Order: sequence, then C-alpha cells, then structure tokens
Amino acid sequence: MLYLTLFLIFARIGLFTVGGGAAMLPLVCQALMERGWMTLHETIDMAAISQMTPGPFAVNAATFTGMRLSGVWGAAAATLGVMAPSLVIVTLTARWFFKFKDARAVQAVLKGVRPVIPALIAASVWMMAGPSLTASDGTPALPLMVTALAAAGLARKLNPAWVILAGGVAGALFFRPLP
Amino acid sequence: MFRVGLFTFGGGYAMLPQISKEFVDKHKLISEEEILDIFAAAQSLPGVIAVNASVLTGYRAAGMAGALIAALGATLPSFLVLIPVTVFYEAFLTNEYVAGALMGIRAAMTGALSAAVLRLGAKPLGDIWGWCLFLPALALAVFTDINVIWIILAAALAGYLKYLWERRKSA
Repeated sequence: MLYLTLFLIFARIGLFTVGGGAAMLPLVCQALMERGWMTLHETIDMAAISQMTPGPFAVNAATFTGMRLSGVWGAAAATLGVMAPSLVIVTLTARWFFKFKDARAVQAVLKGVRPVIPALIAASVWMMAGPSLTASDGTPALPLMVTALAAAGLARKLNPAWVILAGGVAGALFFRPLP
Repeated sequence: MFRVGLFTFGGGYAMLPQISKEFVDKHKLISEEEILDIFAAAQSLPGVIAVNASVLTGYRAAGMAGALIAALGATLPSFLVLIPVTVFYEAFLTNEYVAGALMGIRAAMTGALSAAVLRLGAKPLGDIWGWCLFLPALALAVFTDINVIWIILAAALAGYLKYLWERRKSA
C-alpha cells in the first residue's frame, strides 16, 4: 500500500522537523534513498525545486516526492502526511500554548535539538557536494564558483530562491550534459 | 491564507510577515502581541513551521474549523503548483538546457544549504554545550547509516537530562 507508506513516512518527517524547512531535508534524503526511491541527483533536484517554488518547503517537497513516486494521489498522501503532525499537535496544544511555550523542560529539550539540526544539514551538504560540484561534461570550476557565490549571497539575507534560480540560469547557459 | 501560501517563496520563515500583514493589519482578526506568541510557538512545536503557524492563526481566529481551513489554505497552492512542476521536470529532464540548468541548480543548492548551516548554527553553537552535540551528530550522520530520527531523539534526551541535572544542582 504505497499511499499509506507515503503518508506515514511524511508524517514521521513532519513530526521530527524542528525549525525551518532545511531541517527537514536530512530526514527526507534518508527516507527516500534508503528505499531506493530516488537517486542523490533527484533528491537534490527535489530540494532545489521545493525551495524555488512558492509555498512552504516541506509541503512542496512532499508533493513533489509523492507525485514522482505515484502520481496525484501519492502527492496528496504525502502532503497530508507532512501536515498531520502539525494539525494534531497544534490543535491539541493550542488551548494552552501560551503556557507551553514557557515550560522550561520543553525549552531544555529544544536546546538539545537545536545544535544538532545544522549538523544534520551539514551532513547532507557533505553528501551532495560530490555530485553537484562537477557537471557531467567535466567542468568543475564553475559550479564551485556558483556554490561559493550562493553561500556568500545568503549571508546577506538574500532569499535562497534567487540564488538557486541564478544557479539554474548559469547552468542552462554554460553546462551541457554528455551525449 | 490561500494567498499567503501562494506568495511565500523559500520556506516558512518568509511566510510569517505575510500572515501578520493579512491577519493583523488587514483583517484585524488577531492582535499584534498574539501573533508574536503564535510565531514563537510555531517555531518551537514539532512540525512544519508554516503549517504550525497557519493552524494556530486559524484556530485563534475561528476555532477548530478555522484551523483546518487555514492549514488547507496554506498548503493547497503549493500542492497545485508542484504537480505541474513535477510533470514538467519529468518531461524535460533530457532536454539539454534543462539538464544544464539542473546542474547549476544543484551547485547553487549546495551553496545555499551551506549558508543555512552557518545561519542555523550561529546561535546554538555559541557555547561548548552546543559543540558537544554538534560534532558527534555530524560524525554519526556522515560516517554511519544511523537513522537521523535517533540522532534528534538522543539530542532531545540530552537536553532534558541536562535540565534535570541543573535543577537538582540548584535545589
């Protein structure tokens, strides 16, 4: 039952996402590649497309993945899955969320999780760096430059979507796949 | 909410100012102070920030039904946009310009993610405690196949144990 599996996988991803969309990426990568559902290249494309298209990253990523694996119903299952934990937890706690926010134990748990999130994203970068720094026609220098530029641009609070889009334009102009 | 979802590029954080503009300034459904509490809660509760914020805002403005409608409103545009985009991706994967663009996108994405690491790491890595969690997590994620959920749970447990330890010391 692929739809149910998609729903459950993305519900788990939604549940363990603390922080922004990028925090979710390591979870998605692992879930998809472990099952052989997507290659590393496809996963990177998925992340880039989710970042560039309007809407929250998590929802975009779920829709794209579900759609690729089993069409519109797969997309619906994955998207509902990623929303489900938020809906359940938030509506349950909405009544007392003012108190909840200040609970010191909750803050302590978050203080443990927060340093780990950048570590997990760094690990994804480590994995992606290999295949993304050389174009398949063998020009390594330029992508590297684009990468450096992107990192520098973001430090100044530029929307990452523009950096990625610029990378795409540069790629369309300069990179050719091998025949 | 549908409109908010449609005009959010680049993740949940970009969405928060939009929500505030629609609900506080334009429709006056929620006070300025309340919206700040909602954003704080959206970021610290588990789940996707954008969906959390929508659900909380909807709940505040119109109860349970409001929460459901806001969540759907925030996700529907993404869903509708991504379906044709995915079809397009599959169909044009072999086109040489699209393939070239994707190579550029992969390189830029890697750069953008590195920047995200720096941004998200800046605050929690301000003390030794942060590094004690960061380095082992990085090593585990890079060199082993361990499920990242376990790493997150272990870090949560570490945070809780530290809290108990400090409370006992001060008591």
